[in-house]
Amino acid sequence: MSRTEKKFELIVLIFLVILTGVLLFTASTADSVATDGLSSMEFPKYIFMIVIALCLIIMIPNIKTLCKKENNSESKEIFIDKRVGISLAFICSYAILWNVIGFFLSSFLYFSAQAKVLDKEKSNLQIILIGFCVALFIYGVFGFAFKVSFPEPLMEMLLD
Amino acid sequence: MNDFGFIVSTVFSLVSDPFILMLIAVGTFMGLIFGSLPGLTATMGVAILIPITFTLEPTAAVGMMLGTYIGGMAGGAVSATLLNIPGTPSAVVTCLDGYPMSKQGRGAEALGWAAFASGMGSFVSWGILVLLAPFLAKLCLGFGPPEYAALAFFGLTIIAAVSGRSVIKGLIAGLLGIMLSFIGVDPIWGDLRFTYGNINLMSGISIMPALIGFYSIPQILISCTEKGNTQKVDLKISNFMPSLKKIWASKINIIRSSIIGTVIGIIPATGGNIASFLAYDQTKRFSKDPDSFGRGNYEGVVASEAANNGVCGGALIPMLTLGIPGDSVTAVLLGGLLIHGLRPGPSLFTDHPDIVLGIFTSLLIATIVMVLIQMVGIKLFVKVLNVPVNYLTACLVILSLVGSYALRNNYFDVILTLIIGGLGYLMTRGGFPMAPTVLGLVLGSMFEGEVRRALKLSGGDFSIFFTRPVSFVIIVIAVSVVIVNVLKIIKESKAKI
Repeated sequence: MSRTEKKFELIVLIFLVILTGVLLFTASTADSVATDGLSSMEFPKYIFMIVIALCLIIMIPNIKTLCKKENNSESKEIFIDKRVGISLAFICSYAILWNVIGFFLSSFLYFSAQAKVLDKEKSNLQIILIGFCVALFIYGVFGFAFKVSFPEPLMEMLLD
Repeated sequence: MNDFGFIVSTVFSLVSDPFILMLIAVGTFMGLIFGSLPGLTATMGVAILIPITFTLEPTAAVGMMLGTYIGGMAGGAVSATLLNIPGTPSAVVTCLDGYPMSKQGRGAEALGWAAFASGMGSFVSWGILVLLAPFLAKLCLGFGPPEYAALAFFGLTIIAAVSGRSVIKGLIAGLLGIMLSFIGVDPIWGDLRFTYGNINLMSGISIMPALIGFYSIPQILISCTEKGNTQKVDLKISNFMPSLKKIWASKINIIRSSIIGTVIGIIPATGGNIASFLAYDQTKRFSKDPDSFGRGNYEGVVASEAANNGVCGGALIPMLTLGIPGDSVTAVLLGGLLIHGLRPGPSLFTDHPDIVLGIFTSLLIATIVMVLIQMVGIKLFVKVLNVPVNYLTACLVILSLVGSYALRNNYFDVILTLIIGGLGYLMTRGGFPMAPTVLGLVLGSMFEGEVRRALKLSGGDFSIFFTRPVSFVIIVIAVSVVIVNVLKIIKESKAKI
């Protein structure tokens, strides 16, 4: 297992321990209408405790391994590729823009930006044209054929 | 369901409805596209296409999903043959002989055999499904909460088999899925659990955002770092259709591989790649020219493709009769059926016999359509391989978010998809398998609900699970599966040392 994979493993384990801890606290302090048998939070509590135990079993040796000095090949490993970070930021922005400029415009902008970032050599005009067609096609298929009600605040504002 | 007139009328109404036939064809076509493209899987294809079925009638929706499943399993042969890159994990073995055939200028012949063998594999497993499933469903009618709890437990022990390298990580992933299933209303007392006042969480974590978040988003983010297919692919169509003489000569191979695929498909968590390896191995053993395998022997392609499509019908048997998915695609299919208000299990056969007949008929139609589409449109699938990865990635993101939104027209599901997708990416990079999480989410509420109902029946006495014979046998089998898998992993670890 590479050092990078171990780092990601540790991040996930820490996240799960914190999450499960919060859920366990919630379960322990919650009221229940149960009159007999298992209350609604009993079963979850057992599962949370098992998860915390399993996470700690992997986490402790993982931390010990990561505390050791990394060798040359390990130091050259890329933690997160720049393109993944940019793509994730684009995806989050795209989701936020749904409620700002609407589905169609945000899809067109997102497609164009994402396609350009992943292949800078493609011509801008080609990317914009394909982006427009893809956004229109998906909007048409889902919006009209499958009657999905996409948010279009900009269009609503213009029509008003 | 035994009434012959009812069967004929239900089947006829399906076959004579051009809209349903068109939907099955569209689903199969999309499945073939997803299966052909490396990095995309049949599982992802079904997960993304399920939202398209929301507004459809259950029979039409199921038909489309099954078409995607059948097409997805068959499509892997295209890139396996032409690029030596399996389009789906189950097409790995097809590379062994398909790619050498392609290099010898016999790519079209390899794809023709792959299409035909896939069709035969699906057809044989369909026959076994139709014969076996109603019988098994009748057997399961007497099941009560202890038996259902034992079945759900058996389904969850599959986690050990799909965990890959680390059983503990697989367990953590599976338990995470079960944790997600706790959110919402308690199944016995009706308390709200872990909603933190959020009205959107009152009905629990929707399956669609979870499926797309765990299967689609991480794969899309990982594919951002890949160059995709840099080779331009072209295909000369000649000798595409296998000759009748050669088909007759390969009949034993086709039937044997199809049956191997079906049997492997019935066993939960085994999947297409195990079936195709086993079938390939058996075909090579019985071949008069075993040395030619791996050098362009079409029998190798036939064995692999017949077996991996044979898994389709086999995996549907435990899924439909017991509610236990046979592989990762049927786990997603199970989620799709639940979204349409259909609970797989013995009650599906008694309460919705029309849906069950619809499933059987759709599977057969999808098989025929899959072969026809490949015969007619093989050049189109080859062109699909040339789509640049940047356009594909952007398109898939849009489809994924639309898919998660379309279920309830609820923006919260989009946010949920992104959060789960981010977690899924971190988990994938950290070596955590995704299949156990989905299994935990799909089976978790059933497991908890049935265990608690069984304990209420017995007054809190756990021996109810061991004193009822069916429940006891299922638990013993489940524990055996876990022990066998753990021992296998320990043995492999020792062999590496």
